Amino acid sequence: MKQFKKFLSVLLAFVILAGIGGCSSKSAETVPAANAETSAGTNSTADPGTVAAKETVSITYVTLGDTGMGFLKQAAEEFKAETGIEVKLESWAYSDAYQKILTLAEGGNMPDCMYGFSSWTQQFKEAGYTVAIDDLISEDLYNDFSASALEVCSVGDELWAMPSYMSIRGMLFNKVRLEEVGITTIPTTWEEFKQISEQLTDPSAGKYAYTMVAGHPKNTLDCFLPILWAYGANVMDETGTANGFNNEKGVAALQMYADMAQYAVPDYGQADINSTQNNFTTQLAAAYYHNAQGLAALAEAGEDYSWAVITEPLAGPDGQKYSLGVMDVDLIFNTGNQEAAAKWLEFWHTPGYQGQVVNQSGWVPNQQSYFAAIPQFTDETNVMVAPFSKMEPITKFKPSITCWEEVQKYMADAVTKAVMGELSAAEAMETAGRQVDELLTK
Amino acid sequence: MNGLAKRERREKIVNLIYILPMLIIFVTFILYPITQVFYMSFFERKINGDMVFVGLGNFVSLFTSPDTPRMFQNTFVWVVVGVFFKLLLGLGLALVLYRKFLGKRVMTAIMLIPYAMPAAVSCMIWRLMYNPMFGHIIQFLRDLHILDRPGDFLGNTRTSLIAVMIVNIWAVTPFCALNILSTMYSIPTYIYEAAKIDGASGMQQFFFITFPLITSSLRTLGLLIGIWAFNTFDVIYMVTQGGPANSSSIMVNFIYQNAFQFNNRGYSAAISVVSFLILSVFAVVYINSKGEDTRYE
Amino acid sequence: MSRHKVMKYLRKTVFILLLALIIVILLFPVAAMVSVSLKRANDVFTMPVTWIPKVIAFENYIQVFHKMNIVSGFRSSLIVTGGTIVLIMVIAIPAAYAFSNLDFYFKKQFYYVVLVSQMFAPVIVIIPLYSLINKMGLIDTRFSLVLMNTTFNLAFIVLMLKSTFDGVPKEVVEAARIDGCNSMEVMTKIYLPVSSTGIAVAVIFAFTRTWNEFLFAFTFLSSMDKKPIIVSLYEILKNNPAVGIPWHYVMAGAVYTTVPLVILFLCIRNYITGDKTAGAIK
Repeated sequence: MKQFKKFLSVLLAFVILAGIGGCSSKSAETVPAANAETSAGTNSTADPGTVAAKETVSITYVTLGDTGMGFLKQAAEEFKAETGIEVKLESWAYSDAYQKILTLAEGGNMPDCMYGFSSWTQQFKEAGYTVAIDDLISEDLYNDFSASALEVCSVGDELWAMPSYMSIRGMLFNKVRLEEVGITTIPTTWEEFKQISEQLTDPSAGKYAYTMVAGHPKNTLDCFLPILWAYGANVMDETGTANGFNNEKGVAALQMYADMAQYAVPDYGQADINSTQNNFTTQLAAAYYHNAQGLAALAEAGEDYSWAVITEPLAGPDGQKYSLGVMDVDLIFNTGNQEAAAKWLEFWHTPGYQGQVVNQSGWVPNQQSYFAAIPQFTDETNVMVAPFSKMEPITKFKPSITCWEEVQKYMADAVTKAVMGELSAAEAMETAGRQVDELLTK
Repeated sequence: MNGLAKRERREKIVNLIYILPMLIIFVTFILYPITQVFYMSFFERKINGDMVFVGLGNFVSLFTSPDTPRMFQNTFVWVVVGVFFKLLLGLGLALVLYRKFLGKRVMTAIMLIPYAMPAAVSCMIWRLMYNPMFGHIIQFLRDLHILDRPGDFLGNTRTSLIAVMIVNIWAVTPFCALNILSTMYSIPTYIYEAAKIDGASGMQQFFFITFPLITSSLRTLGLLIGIWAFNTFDVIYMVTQGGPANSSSIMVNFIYQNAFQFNNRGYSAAISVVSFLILSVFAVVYINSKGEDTRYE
Repeated sequence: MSRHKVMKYLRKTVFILLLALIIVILLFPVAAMVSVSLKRANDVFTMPVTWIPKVIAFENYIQVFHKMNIVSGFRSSLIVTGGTIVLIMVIAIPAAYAFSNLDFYFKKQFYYVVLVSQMFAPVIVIIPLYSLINKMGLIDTRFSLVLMNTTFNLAFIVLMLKSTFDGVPKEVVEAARIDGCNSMEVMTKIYLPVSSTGIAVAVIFAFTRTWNEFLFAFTFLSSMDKKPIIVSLYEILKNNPAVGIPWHYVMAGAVYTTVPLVILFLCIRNYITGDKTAGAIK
């Protein structure tokens, strides 16, 4: 009992100090808003008060997953030679980027510009982390971007992120495998595909009809959204204030997805999009939904990929079909070095540098000048780009809303639970719908 | 008489210097951040980044969220069931290794390897082994004809927690075994000899001699690894990131997820406060048990 | 053969089988690690899984240096761990000594503070800590890791050392006091030499826990060359989306990471197999 009293006194001391400590922690919260006043950019030598005019000696650019590192280094060297500004390059992992940038933003320690995801655009603008790009770049560059790219990256009329790597995803089929089981026409709707899936699935021989993701917090939706859209539902409804998937159509879409799971490679609980890519390129699965990266990887390894065919996404019951567009962006942060950062990005977004990265990775260019300068992009036989560019008209992008990470997680969890049989499709959609609605009203 | 008391009092003050650096570290890096966390738990982060006072709002959300029961359940299972098996298997291991036999030194060394391996490394290996198509574990089960097709333990919402628990139990059991062993060594052998002369069998020796004497040490050990288990973030994160749909997440995972992935600082702080309170209960029990031990010495 | 002898042989065989089973269970993952580290890229994912690859790729152990930052990872790990050990010992030894042997105001309360501070997961306080470290200008420095590791292991080490110090015989201390030594001299001249074993064990624990530490290394560091090897290894798993994870290299790196620790543990196993308590009874 005595020890207990002693412990309580210690606890009480903690609590009292919590009250005192609380007052001092207020300052921490105003950091993001007052970012302009704190000294930014790791090596800037200027007066931190003014945000606009600054003599910048070096800036930091972050790329993700080492993307384009080779060309980035080259570009940085030549940029320095031309302008005298040093560009420090960093690379973060894709999956940790969001956490990292938020923590850095909180501490007032952000890089000057970085490769990020379009879903951050709105949120970062409202939090005051980024700056509008329209005024910082030249007219030429602005007009170089395609209309849909600009739309995804704009909030209202202003451009708040620079369109960067874009990929469009469609269906890929292993036509050789299909022919093996006697199927000569590639399915065009989900129903058709489901009907032939049973023939394509033979677990003891290690063959499956499909490979998907149901578990990974981000990639689950990459695989599920196209089906959701094909069935006529969406993440948000038309008003944008409530969820758009807790309805008949959404439930039907989820039911289809859950049904397909029995014909899919059984690693969907732990898989991410790269696992699905791997499953397809090693010919375990006969079909999957992605961009040309898998084929690009095969090409790089010098292997034959003629057994693969790219088709438009499968359609839902009323014939709707959509490709998933993934837009990665370059963001300029409010660190005081934005002019230098914009100059760097403008230097980088040219066919000789970023264009090469787009070409090598099997992504789709969104700048006109790239199409003109790099022949592979307009080559009809180039299976990496041509089929996907054609799908641009039916491409939908993931919404850019502020609490996207949470919305994504709620939806992904619902999909996962339905696929694994923990909840029925209706229950799963209902739970997620409720959670998303609550979130949107905050 | 007076001079002695004065010197004593002065010494009592001066001696504080010995613990001063330690106190500075604690206050700066533990106390101060904790108070900030407590403070933050009463706020919510609005969409545009402002922090708004919501009183107990976060706590209400926490207790009404559909994910919360699973979170508590997972944490409970992870800690209680985990500790149970770690102690049980550790005890078993210690009993096997108690007697002298050829290669005992080597065995003890081998036994420590799971504990010595960095968590990151063992998590990676287990992840590979759990792979449904190419993993060693599934292959093993198929060879034994327990499974007839590839299955996924890690990626299944029902079994992911258990799968990660196996990894954790595998790593911590040797540590428990070692602790129990060292306690067992401190029991003088003449007691066993006397019992043998009296005709006690091995089982009786265990239940009436060994077990009672190591009970208090087991209890302290159990508390210690219980607290470690409660706080374990690395293992779960590196193996499943919290499992498909948070099925293998315990409280610390939710804290991390809300703070870093959703940027919900206030809500994360609220979960932290609840964790803190739960841990405090542990702490009280721990202190009481420690108190008994020290008096015994 | 007498029945007694049969029972004896039976017992022995059961015992050996049990040992074998234990070894297999404990070392199963280690064997997997070594097995994968010796495979070529194409052999890693095969169905069915093979334990001994057809072609043993020893060159993985050399190639891995080009693929991962092994050398800088090791260097960082050593710097952080070494720094932590020094800092912890400098702070913990006087503290443990004071708890064990000296008297001062609020001794009991501070003792509880030490006990209680072990309870908190670093995850709970990581965001305020990040702000704090950032304000100190220590983000992306190895020193910040040293500070963090010191903070979160201090309590455990102090308690360990305290119980070691408690084992020092009182007569020796009293003799020293009578000879006129003050507290500081008692600590350095009597306690340290006598408790060298206990201190060694504490050092090993501090080493292990810091070497394995992941959360802070992961969050506080951004420069590739400062990351400890643990983080480097983990990041390979998450870095390249277009190319598959090179498991064979990862496992080779894992072997490199594990070996120092295992060797360390083997060296000190004598100290932790209970010999220290043997002295207590006598």
